[in-house]
Amino acid sequence: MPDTEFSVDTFRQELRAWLRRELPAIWGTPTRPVRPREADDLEMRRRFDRALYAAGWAGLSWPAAYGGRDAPIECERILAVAAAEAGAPERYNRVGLGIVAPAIIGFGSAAQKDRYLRPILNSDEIWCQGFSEPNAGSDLASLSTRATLVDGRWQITGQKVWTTLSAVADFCLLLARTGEPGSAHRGITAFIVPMHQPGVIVAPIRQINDSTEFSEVFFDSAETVAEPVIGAVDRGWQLAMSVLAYERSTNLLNRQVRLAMTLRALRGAAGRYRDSVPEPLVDDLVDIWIRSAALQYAVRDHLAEIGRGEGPGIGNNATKVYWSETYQALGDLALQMRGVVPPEGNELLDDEPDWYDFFLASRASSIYAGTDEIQRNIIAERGLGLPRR
Amino acid sequence: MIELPDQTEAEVVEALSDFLAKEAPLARSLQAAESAAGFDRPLLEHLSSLGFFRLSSDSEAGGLGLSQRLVGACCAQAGRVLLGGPWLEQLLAARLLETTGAPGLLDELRLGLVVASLPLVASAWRNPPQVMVSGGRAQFVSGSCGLGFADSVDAWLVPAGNPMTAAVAVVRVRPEPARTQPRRGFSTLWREFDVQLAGAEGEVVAELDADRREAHLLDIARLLALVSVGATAAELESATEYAKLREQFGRPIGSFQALQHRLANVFIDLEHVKSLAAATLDPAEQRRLRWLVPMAKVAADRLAVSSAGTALQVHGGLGFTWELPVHHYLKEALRRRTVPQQTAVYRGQLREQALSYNL
Repeated sequence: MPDTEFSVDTFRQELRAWLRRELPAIWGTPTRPVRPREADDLEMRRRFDRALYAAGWAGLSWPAAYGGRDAPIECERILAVAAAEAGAPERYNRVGLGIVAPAIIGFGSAAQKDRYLRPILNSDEIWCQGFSEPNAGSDLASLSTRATLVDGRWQITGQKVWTTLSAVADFCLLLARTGEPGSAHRGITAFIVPMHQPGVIVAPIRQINDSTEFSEVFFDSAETVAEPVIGAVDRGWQLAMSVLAYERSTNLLNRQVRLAMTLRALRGAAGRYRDSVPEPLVDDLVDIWIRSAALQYAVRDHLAEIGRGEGPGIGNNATKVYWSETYQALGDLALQMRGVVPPEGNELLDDEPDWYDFFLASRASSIYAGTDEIQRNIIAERGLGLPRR
Repeated sequence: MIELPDQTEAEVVEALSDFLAKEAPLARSLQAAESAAGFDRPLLEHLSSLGFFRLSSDSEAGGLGLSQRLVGACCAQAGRVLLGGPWLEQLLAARLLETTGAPGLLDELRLGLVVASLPLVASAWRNPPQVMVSGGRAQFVSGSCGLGFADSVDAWLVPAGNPMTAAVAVVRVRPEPARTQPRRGFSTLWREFDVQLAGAEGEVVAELDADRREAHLLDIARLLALVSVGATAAELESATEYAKLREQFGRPIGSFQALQHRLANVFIDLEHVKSLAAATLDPAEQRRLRWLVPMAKVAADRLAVSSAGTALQVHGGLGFTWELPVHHYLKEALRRRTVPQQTAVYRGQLREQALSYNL
């Protein structure tokens, strides 16, 4: 698409029509598939990423120089809402889009931007993120995966865990120790590591919901790419904190929109079988509905902040906690609702999403991307200025 | 303070915040509450002169032309200091008359020449006492209503049922002390009276159809929600400051995670309730107000009460005394929770609405 000036109104109209037209091909069926298998779901997501790219909408708010459209950040919200309402799948390359691209745009060299950004936008190259380790979870700065210079090339040795998309990823944005063992956040560097090589072994983890979305990843003298360091050596911590804050705000948009859609489905089912639904569950439904609305407006306000060049602020940490608690409450309510509606109602409830999976998956939300307890520590220290111990 | 058009809206809010911190700290509102009038009339007049009661109306109609969102932000500022007196009644009366009423009284309200009170509870508007109307004059046959500061304002604006039109007439009644009886309540800042209306006479200043009446009740609720948001922010700040200063076990109590997380929880809720309450004044959300306002009211009231409880706990024994203002925040939050309708009534409406989404 030509990089002419962006019109929000035109965008909104074109987007809706485009979704109606393109979604059957993206789904691979005339209507949205109900509870697709994990592998089919991933393929669907990939087709969606590519279709968005082809339409010129893959990096709406990105700078035009890197394949984006320089559109106002509000357009990301319009896209997320319209896509979710039309039944579009989630994005596939979400780590690439949410974490890696901001890291490269903010800290990478011109050559890295030229090499990596476009393939992220069109999902030709899938990324994962190697941050957490078995002994460095909440205390990320204690990570011990080691990067060493061998004949002028960086090599990686160590283990990462909870690595989303690692089974399919082409590259990993990896944090490794380059300083002395006790150097904490001062001796960490951000690297680009190719995943398809003998020195990298991915071992899927069977999760409580039977998904294997996360894996363990073992690096044994793994090679890095030609220009592997993003930013400077020993300066990876600042990069990690900055992109995590950014990711929190953009990911929260999609999470909020999905949660609102799911809540609608539950309200519909509860309404249809209202005579079977005991009052305490209706009260829970009201509470979750209020929280979902509050989330919607808070996320909108956070995005407006970013649009004014002010964010992402501490409010996003608050929203991460608020969202995960709402998500878990919704999953719990849905399971209880299943237990009270008549059998034909269960069919309706089971239609979309799979509530068992929804509930189980929700349990991870207060753990990943910084546990809710870590978020509260951050809020106490940076938002409220309370003293550290 | 307000120097338009050079100021942005954020600057207007900041200026108001500075003004209130300096001229209307809680200590002064409490002092005024002890006075004969029960509130600081010069302060109210000062606020009028700054444009507080005409922030959002058209400049052609004598207003400052600022956004509705800004009105909400200003109510939150008033909530921070627990501003005393009938300022909310005055503001609501001006907003009501802007769309329906006679311009004469509206100008007087905006300029602070007349200080008015009106009932805040929904039942007063939905089941008003009946009047006989002839030639713009109304006479109450019977009835009573609750009014804040009924003994010290210049005008009572009382809703009344007009049997001829089925609309609610807003009747301006000249206050008569003999008709007032103080009501028991635990608010120090807000005096409420029972007003006996039988035989009272006044002039009809506005007529509200059912839609307009409900819109007015939503206006009361959403401005109160914003007051609760401001009060919560103030409670959180004072508890946080205290936790930084107070030492036990040789360190500030605010360095203990048990307290940190408690305060962080208030911060987390406030971040979201703030956005929800502010959205009720967004022009783009007006067609959703029927459920958005109840949501904001329920959430803001609940948070104001619970955060006052948190602030009380963090302040320890001092929080349980008149030494500190924490208890006023708790008491005012409990009072706001009852108007214009009990939170439970809104929750009931939301239940109905939650179940009426069609797949």
